Formats: sequence, C-alpha cells, structure tokens
Amino acid sequence: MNKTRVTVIDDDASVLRSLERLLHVAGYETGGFPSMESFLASGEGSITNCLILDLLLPGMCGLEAIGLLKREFPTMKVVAISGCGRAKNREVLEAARRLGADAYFSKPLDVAELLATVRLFLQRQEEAPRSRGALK
Amino acid sequence: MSERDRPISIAGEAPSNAAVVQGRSRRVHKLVLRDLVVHRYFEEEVLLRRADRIAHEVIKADLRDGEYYRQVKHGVYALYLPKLTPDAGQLRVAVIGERISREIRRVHPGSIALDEMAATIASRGNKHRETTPAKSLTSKAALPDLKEHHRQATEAMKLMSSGYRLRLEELLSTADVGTTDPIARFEPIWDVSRATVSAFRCVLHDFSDMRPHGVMEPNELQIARIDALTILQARAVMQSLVSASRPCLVVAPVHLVTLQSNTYLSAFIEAIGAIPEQHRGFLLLEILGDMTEVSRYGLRHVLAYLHNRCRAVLFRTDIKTGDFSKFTENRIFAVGAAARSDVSAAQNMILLDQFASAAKRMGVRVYATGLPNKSSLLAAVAAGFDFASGAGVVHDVDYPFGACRATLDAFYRDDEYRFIPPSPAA
Repeated sequence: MNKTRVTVIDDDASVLRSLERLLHVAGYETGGFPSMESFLASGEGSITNCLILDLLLPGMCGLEAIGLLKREFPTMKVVAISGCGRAKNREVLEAARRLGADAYFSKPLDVAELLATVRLFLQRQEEAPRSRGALK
Repeated sequence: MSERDRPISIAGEAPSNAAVVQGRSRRVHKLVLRDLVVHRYFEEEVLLRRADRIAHEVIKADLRDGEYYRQVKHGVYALYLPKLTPDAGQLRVAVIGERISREIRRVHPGSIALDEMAATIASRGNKHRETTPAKSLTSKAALPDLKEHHRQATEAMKLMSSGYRLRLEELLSTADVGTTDPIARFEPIWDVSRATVSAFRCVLHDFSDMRPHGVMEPNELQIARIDALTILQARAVMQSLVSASRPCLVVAPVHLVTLQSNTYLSAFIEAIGAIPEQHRGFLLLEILGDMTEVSRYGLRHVLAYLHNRCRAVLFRTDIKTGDFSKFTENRIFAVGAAARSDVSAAQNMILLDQFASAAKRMGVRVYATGLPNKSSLLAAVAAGFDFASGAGVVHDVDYPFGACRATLDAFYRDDEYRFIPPSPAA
C-alpha cells in the first residue's frame, strides 16, 4: 500500500524535527525542509499530499508560497502554521486563509488537532476521484 | 555614614578647578564640574545635575584607600588625598576631572569639553585668535587657564551661533552636485492595523550609489540643502494631492544634523513656513539620525521647533537601538528602523523582531522602512510593526497616489498592485 506523504517546511529545526517524527509515528511518509526554496528544488511537491507550512520563513515566505503551491499542485492540501502568540498572528493566519490555505494553526500547536486535520484532508483526498495528472 | 562619605569641611574657595583648598588641610582639593564641560543644549544646572551622578561614580571608582571625597554643592566636590603632596594631589584631581569629563561626554553626547572647545576656537582663527591653544587637563600648566578658556569659549560660541544663521534663500543658492533634486521617488507606507496605504515617504538619493559618479558623502551644508529642498518639493506634492482631492500623508525626512545646527535650522524652519497652514496637517517630519547622538534635552529642544509645524514627528534610528526611553518622554509619534541590506534575511527578521519588541515594551509605535521583500514584510507584521514600507510592501512610485485600502493578503496576490489607483500624473 502506498503511504501518503506529508511534508513539513519550517526554519525552526526543533519544530521541523518534532513534526516529522510525529507524522512518521502517525503512519505517514514524511519529509522536512527548512525553506520553501529547498522544497521546490527537491521536486517533492509532486509527491506531497499534504504540506505543513510555516508562514514566517526567510527567503520566500509562507504567504507568498501558498499562491504558488495552489497553482502548481492544485490537489495538495496546505496547512499554514505561524505564531509565537504575537498580536498580529491572527491577521497573518487570516491572510493565509484568504490566499488559499486549507487550514491554519497558531503556535504553540495543538498536535492532536493538527493530526486530526491532516488525517481528515488525506481521507477526503482518498475518497475523492483523484486527478493523478497533477500529482505525477 | 561610611567613612568615605564623611563630610570634609572646606575653608575658602579656590579660584580654579582642582585648586588646593587652603586652610585646614593642604591635602583637600576642589573639583568643579562646570569648569570641565559645557553642553550644547542643557542649561548649566541641568547638566550639573546629571553630571553629579556620573562624577560620584567616577570619583568613587578612582579613590584609593585612605582617600575620601564629599560633594560640597551642585557640581562641586572636595577630595581629601592625604598621601599625596599638594602638587601631586592637584594633578591627580585633574586626571579624575578628565575622566569625569570623558564620561559625561560619552553619556551626554552634546557635551563639549572646555579644553577641546577652546582648542577648536583657537584653530578656527576667528575673533578669538589670541586664545592660547588649550593644554591637556592632565597638564599642571593648563589648570589655571581653564576659567579663562571657559569664558572665551562661551563668548565665541555665542558669536558663532548668532552670526551664522543661514536664510533659506542663501542655503538654496549654494549650488552642489547631487543635491539639486533630492527626491527621486515616493515610498508608500502601509498602516498595518488600519489596513490602508495612507502615507508616502520621500525617498532621498542614496549617496553611496552615486559615489562612482564622483558624488561623495554630503557635508552638513549639502544635507541641510537637501532637507530644505525636500520640504519644498513635499509642499508641491501636497498641494497637488489636495487639489486633486486625493489627500494623503506625506513624510518628509530631515537629518538630525540640520536640526542640531543653529546655522541651518532657521533655513529649514523657513522652508516649512512656506507650506500653507492647511497643508501642514498632511505633513509628517521624519528625523533621520542616530538616537544616541542626541540627548534627551536636545531632542526636546529640536521637537519644540517641529511639533507645531507639522502633523507629527517620526524618528528613524538604527535598527539595533534598544533603549527607547528618550522617545517616551518626548512626543514622537513613531520610531522607525530600516531593514539592513548587508545582513541575511534571517538576521533581518531577528533584528526587526528585537527592535519592535524593545519599542513595544516602552509603549512606542514602530515603523519599518526599506523592507526588501514579502518575507521581510511578513516578519515586520509578525514582529508587531505598526507601519511598513519598502519594495516588499509596494515598490516606490513616482508620485503619491492617495490613500487606499490594502489588507495583508493583497500584497501576496498576483495582482498585488490592484489596489493602487492610477497616478494623477499619468
């Protein structure tokens, strides 16, 4: 059985490592990148089913990336994460939603809720008739 | 009371600083702060009050076992140095005095050491050419001359400041390459909380870019001329915006050196005066300079000239600034910093965050300029900046296009500039 792939992009190495481990334990194939540029260069976009994307990144930031991802990989689900409990976090996440993010979470992350959301997205993807062209 | 702080009685007042007090003991020396240093802006009493704190610390640190000091009155200290001969003691007090003077000048950058001032005046060869060049305070021979230096220096300073007030006309008539057209573009400023582009900042030439073409760093005269020309151009822009029914705020930069100089300040004020009163409501003045270069009192002095001549005053300082106490006491609308071009994106994010956090702790509004890309815009927003500008927000425009609404996501869409109405000039 083909495992579904969930990729994480976060410039904070500790968050990246923990999320990768968590998703691996949850039964997903995982990949992690510290920047949007390295993710795009790796070519993993075409095999990623769900992307957990930190918005605050050096180089291409998450808000910039959402539009690009939605255009290049229309079936990929994008979960935006951002925060540290800043005052403007809500506005940033709201902007991510308006730009096309499928879900958004504020740091510190509610891991159970994040996993449930990822699971729900992937389940829906399985059920829906797949447009494999975009993924290949 | 500790032994060191125990009062020492003084019998009589010596005429000059560091003079040995005659009477009870030839080992008691007098140190007078007003003979060491003056300040560009502080009244003498204000300076002495602040200098007293510094003097206490320096003297305490400098005294050895068996030596004592006591403050006699504001700015006057008695030092009991029993192990030294009167001459050696006098020299020692001079050294302590120089340390105090140096420390005062470090903490209050507007301060001028009297010996330095006297030397400067002597070298300028003005009316006081006969002034003997000042000797170092450490030199025994220099000590009796200090009072005289002070008197001459004060007189000369008065003459210099009264005789060199340039009028706007004179300032503008000084032709200089690279300063004829100070404003090249306008930088739209995004108000984060109101989600509007509501102001436009005049972007001055970057002189470092012009160096290969033979333009060097501008001197104070050139800077003052740029500032005056900027104001005059801003006036024209505001007039056309108001007449086109597209009012928006215009931010005109002015360099701190211009405001600190009596010679150029009057010309600058004259330039602002040329703006009709009803248009000044749209004018924001942005002081450009290093905050550490201006004392709290100096800043208040400068702001007193500006506050009733414009809508608000901004202060752009170095992004590494961490102390914002000067801004909380003075009515500065917001404090800004420019993103640095010589560091990585990640470092810029950290610097922006540190700057905003430090300012927010003091309750100061903050704005970021020169944000190079969308990533830095997001970093600025996340850090809590109230206003943002730079290529990451909207690229510089030739002419202000008036206020318009723009939510954060608008800057990240493909049709990112859709909210910009066509320029009235077009």
